[in-house]
Amino acid sequence: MHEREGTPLTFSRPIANSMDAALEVEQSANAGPDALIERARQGSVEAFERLYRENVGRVYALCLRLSGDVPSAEELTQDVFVLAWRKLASFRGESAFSTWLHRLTVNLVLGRRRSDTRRGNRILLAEDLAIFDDGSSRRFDPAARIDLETAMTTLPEAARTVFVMHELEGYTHDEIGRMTGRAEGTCKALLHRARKLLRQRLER
Amino acid sequence: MRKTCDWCRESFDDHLDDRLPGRERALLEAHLSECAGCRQDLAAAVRLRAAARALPQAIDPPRDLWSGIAERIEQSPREQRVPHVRGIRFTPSWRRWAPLAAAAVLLIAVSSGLTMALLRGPSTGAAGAAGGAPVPGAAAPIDFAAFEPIESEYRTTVAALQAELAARHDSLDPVTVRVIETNLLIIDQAIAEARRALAADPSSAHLPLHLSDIYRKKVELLRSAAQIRI
Repeated sequence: MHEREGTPLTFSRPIANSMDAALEVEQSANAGPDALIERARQGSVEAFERLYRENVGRVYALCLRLSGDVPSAEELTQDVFVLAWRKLASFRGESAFSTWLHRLTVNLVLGRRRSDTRRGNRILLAEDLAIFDDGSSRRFDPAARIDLETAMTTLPEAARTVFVMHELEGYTHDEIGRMTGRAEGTCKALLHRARKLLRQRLER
Repeated sequence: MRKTCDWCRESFDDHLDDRLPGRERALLEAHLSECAGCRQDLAAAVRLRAAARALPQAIDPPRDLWSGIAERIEQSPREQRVPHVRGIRFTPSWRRWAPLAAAAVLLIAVSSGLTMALLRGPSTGAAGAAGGAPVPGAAAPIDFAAFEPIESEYRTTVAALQAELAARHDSLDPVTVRVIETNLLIIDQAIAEARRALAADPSSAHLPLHLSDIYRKKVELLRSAAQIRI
């Protein structure tokens, strides 16, 4: 291969051009959830809305059960998706998007409570658990027949949290303790209290 | 040793999850055989768990929440949102990559100057090394061997950056990893072609510049990858 002085070097395949063209490789908008997530990561609000519609039911259910009331659940749900939009760059695809979103939801809801937690982490006696009856739950009408979903909303917040996280979401007491800032023994005691209260309210 | 009712109730979860050690399971079962209250409590816990797990995983909100979300995300800056550069996202957070990447920047600057000095020939001396403009049409034959130290520096820096990238491989987004690896493959092919061409025509005035340019792209690509937030 020879060059003539004063003329640009040429090859049978221009190295620079093909390389530059190849380096322009973009993620094509292929069909599938990966492509949808990638488009959302690149700033597509339409793609993110689709992700919202596919996942809002799961997020809202968790927010409703943890908060115990609809207005709080709606606000928390919106907060989760706004946070997800902001943090989408950190989603690495190692788990399903719904799993990542679920974790985000748990962390957001429980994280807001941790700063309000002023209880100690010691193992509580049964009578101590009354301090968790903070009146945040809906007023319970013993005369009304209620289903489990409704009964959960009448639980004190701490007991409801442990019940939802353990019995519905499958977290261990150790994990719940770390997320809520409570000792594992406290979480077990709270779960026992939740079961006792639910049993009272469901078996009337 | 007999167990109390409180101990038994606290053991229900481990028992239901089949995580109770053998000895404690035996103690629990012994207590249950004697305590009707705990048997009822365990049965109730089983029923309650079954009912809880039968609840729907998703519940539709009573109203559409999207409009409120859309309004907020339009006003909300994304965390670490940076321009999309050739399929790779990068952030300013360097952490431990900073010294290595800084060395890469210095290498690029120094080698560019050296490459230009080589192309101008030995007579330009300090002026050429300082980055003065080459005289048109006056490109002197170059000694490819003189380019080899520059190439060696590039290779050393590239090897170090690639080792760091390999160490972070599992922490990076798989899509990003594929883009990086594809681009690295293309660059390596270009390097191989340019070296073959230079070996065949060591007197070429442009090939060292092209090869240096390709190496520079490789270093820049690896530097960009180094800045990707994990």
